[in-house]
Amino acid sequence: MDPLSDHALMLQVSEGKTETLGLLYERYKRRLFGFFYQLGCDRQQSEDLVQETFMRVLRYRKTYTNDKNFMAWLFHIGRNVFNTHYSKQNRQGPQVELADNRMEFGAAEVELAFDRSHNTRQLEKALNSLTLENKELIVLNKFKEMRYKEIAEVVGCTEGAARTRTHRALQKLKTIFFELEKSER
Amino acid sequence: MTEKEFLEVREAYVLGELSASENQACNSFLERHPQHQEEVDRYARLLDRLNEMEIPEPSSQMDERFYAALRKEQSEVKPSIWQRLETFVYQSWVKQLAFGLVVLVAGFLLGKQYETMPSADLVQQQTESNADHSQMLALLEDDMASNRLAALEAIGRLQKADAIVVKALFTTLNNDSNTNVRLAALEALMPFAHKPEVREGLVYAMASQEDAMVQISLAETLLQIQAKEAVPVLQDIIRSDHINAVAKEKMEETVAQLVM
Repeated sequence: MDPLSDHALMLQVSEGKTETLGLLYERYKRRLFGFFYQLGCDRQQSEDLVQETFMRVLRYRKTYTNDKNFMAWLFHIGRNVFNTHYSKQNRQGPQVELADNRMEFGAAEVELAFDRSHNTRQLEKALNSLTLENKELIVLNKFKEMRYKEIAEVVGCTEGAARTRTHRALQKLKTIFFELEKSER
Repeated sequence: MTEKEFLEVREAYVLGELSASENQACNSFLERHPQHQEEVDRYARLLDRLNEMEIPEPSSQMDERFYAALRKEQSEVKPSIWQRLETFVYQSWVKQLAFGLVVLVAGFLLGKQYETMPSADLVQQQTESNADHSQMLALLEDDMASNRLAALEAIGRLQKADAIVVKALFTTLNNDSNTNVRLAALEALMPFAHKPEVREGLVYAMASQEDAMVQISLAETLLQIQAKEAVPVLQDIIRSDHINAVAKEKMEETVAQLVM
């Protein structure tokens, strides 16, 4: 086994060599941050959730076993962290409104938001109109470049179901996006 | 392929998930039914836009908070009496005695090999005349330390290092029996320290070094590249019982500067 592979490093963490977690953090912090951000959290919330996810990795390190896939395990924990955060917000959820709040976060981000192409904003709107489950599948599939086998581990279903559900989610996104586009014409 | 069959695999087709033969069947279908091509193109444009969506970079405060929390967690995890006893027994005299014996045997073998060492010119010719990595990498595994040093010197002159060379350098840094060879491997890695995998490997190497000279040089390197992620590793070594006093001082200094 490659001693620097994610799996080998996480096994070291689970055996008590917790300083190794820093290496895994460096490898995954951006992807995890992007995952939360794309699910609709603002920048600060996304950073808080990354922190909480890695603290849970540390807390539950002994549950990591040889048969696990680190990336899928990490995002599974991240997903649980997000769900806790989501339910704390009284099931309001980071939907369309949150996307707008996110743009108000800082002057630089407001500028960035205005600079974004019209289509990108439409796409954000379409994404935020999806259910959380559908949005999550698209984020994992498109943005995190996960294989269906890993997505299945993250969301807790079979590989075939992960593929079918992701395709359906993309179909829905496409329908909403083109409807939004049509309504603007 | 019928229309119904095409619609069943359309998403997989656009996502590039089909086999070559399935892909071919879809292409033929689209040639025969151009009315579906427009829909496929729109789908492809949507996926392109998805890929183009911007995600901001997380702030440096996120790193600071993570490493502070990691340090706190580590300080709260106290080793058990058995673990401390084990560390005391195995990491003190038994380990030191074994290390001493290894050094003695290595010194003896090295001395014997120097008697039959080929001329330095020959090694130089060998490394310079052929830029082929495989030759240099083979030399890195040579029994003679002088040949391994010559190989490292040749690698140090490379403008680029591929993954195989980087891996070989780390294998040398982490496992070579000779301190000078390990130091030379570290020096050869320095020009590539901007690469994330090299940076990560250097942090990992810190945890596996026991020689004070290599530890000091590595700490200096980690400071130069501002590897804040190395702080927990350094702190763990500082806390260990068998660390050399000078190396410990250097690491404490490094930690203080990295967390500034």
